[in-house]
Amino acid sequence: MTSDTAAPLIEFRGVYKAYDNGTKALTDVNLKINKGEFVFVVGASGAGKSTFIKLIIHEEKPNAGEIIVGDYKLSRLRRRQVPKLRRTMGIVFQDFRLIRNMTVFENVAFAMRVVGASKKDIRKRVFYALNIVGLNEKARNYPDELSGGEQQRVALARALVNNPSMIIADEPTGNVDPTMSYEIVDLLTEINKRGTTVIMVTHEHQLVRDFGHRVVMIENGMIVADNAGFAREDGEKAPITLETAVFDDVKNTADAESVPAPAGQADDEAALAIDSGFVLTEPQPTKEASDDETEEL
Amino acid sequence: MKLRSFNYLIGEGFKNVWSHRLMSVASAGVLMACMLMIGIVWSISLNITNAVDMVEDQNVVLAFFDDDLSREEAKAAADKIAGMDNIKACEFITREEGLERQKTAMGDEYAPLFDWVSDENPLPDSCQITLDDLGRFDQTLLALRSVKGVATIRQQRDVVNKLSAIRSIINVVGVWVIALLLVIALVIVANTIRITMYTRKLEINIMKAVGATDAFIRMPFVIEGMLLGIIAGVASTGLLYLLYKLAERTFARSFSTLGSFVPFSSFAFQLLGAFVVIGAVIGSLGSVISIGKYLRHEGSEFNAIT
Repeated sequence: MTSDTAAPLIEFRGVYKAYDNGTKALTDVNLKINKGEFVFVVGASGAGKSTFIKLIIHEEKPNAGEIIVGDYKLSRLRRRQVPKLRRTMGIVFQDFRLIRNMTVFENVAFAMRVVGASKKDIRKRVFYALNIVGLNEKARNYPDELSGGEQQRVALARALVNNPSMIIADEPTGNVDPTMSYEIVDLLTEINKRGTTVIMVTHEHQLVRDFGHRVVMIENGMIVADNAGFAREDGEKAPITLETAVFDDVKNTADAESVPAPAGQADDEAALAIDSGFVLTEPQPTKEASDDETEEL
Repeated sequence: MKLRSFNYLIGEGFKNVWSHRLMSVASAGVLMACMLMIGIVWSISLNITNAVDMVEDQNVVLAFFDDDLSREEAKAAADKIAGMDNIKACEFITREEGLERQKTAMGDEYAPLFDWVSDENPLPDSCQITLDDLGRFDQTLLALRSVKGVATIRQQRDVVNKLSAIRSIINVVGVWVIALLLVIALVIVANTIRITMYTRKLEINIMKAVGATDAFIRMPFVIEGMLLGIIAGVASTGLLYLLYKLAERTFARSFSTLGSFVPFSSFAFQLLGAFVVIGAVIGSLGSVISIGKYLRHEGSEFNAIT
């Protein structure tokens, strides 16, 4: 879904992030994600995807540059304001992170209790969220009684229950079977159609190809491809999806094939980008940005 | 924080004690051991101080008045002494009473010695003085000497000095030992609670991710720590009672020369109150320290839970 207003919900302006051990995680990242967009963030292990997400949720702070999330300028965000920022987003983790001794209902309700919701609201909203993910009937079950896909749907319901303006999903399909992966992304797409911005980090290229949302590719800490803002032939500017980039009559602003593909683990992503007619910016060599090091951060 | 959140968190604190009962027992046990040690040190100090007080009370300064002072003048001088600074008590003793006391103190064996003085009592009127603060013994003695009508003063300075020193040492050592034990208790409890925190890493992680404030995350741990502290306080008072009774039975005879044991009932409620407060404070403070450290330095919302 594309936004009617195209107002940016997340904006990165010249963001640099290096960790204390010297690893450069992100270099000069400039990016806008508008309200109501669905964005896939792709990249090899250690490319900087996790840092990108950590910066959005303000778990990490940039060394330079500015990040704006909704009404919050993160450089000016005080420690006590971080919970308020987090309440504007729902986070979905690869490992589900459900509390085993709580039922499905309690797991979802837990997120509402944290924000001080009344019992009545909790009852109403939890069943509403469970209904969206199709797990109303499993409200009394414990996580261990559910399949991986169902557990991830519970996690999704938990992320949704406080009605956030954005969902940040970190490899939500990483621990579920391929069929369920499609169901999860279908659900996220449904949620996105209701107006919630979705940012999903993934490795699964086929999913990215099949769902045709905006794709941001990170390589060696830099955004090397982004299919947002491509111009249509009719001259109207609109963020376009991967699907439209491939199949629609899109006027690209650069010759994708003339750009060298990133080496190593990024080959697959690069191939995806080239296949899709992306603009590839040449990745600058980054100093000692080892994939392993970054991944462990 | 909203009232319903507050109620919910208090409930969570109570629930946590039960649902993590093994760690609860460990935390309360550590706290109990520390409080028991504090209680033992306190009991010893209390009994020794009590014994010293008793000995001190028996230790008096005797002021003898001039022979040529009339009874009224001697009484007036005694009243003046009673009103002086650092004087706890001043008992006027007539020369007749003095002689009687002397006879009694020396016993029947020496009674014939007093026959020759029955007609002519050599003792003057006197007063038996007890001091408030033995630390100011010398100054007080000087002041007593300057009272008009006081001829001589009899005192046992060495004994007084020794008693004063013993009590000071007991007080200082007692305070330091208790302070040290409190710090040890705090450190151990903070670390034990920290371990319980790691078992609930996932919950904290989720709470942070969904926008819980630090106060919200901290509250159930603080309630839990406080509750464990109170339980430990009550339990250690009970245990100390049993140990005290055992000590009374075992050492009663050897202690009798210095006086009797202070009855447990005379300080049981103060001890219970002190232990409950100490337990609650150490338990909650330990939680605050642990969770504070955890929230500041660890507990990344994003990294995988292992």
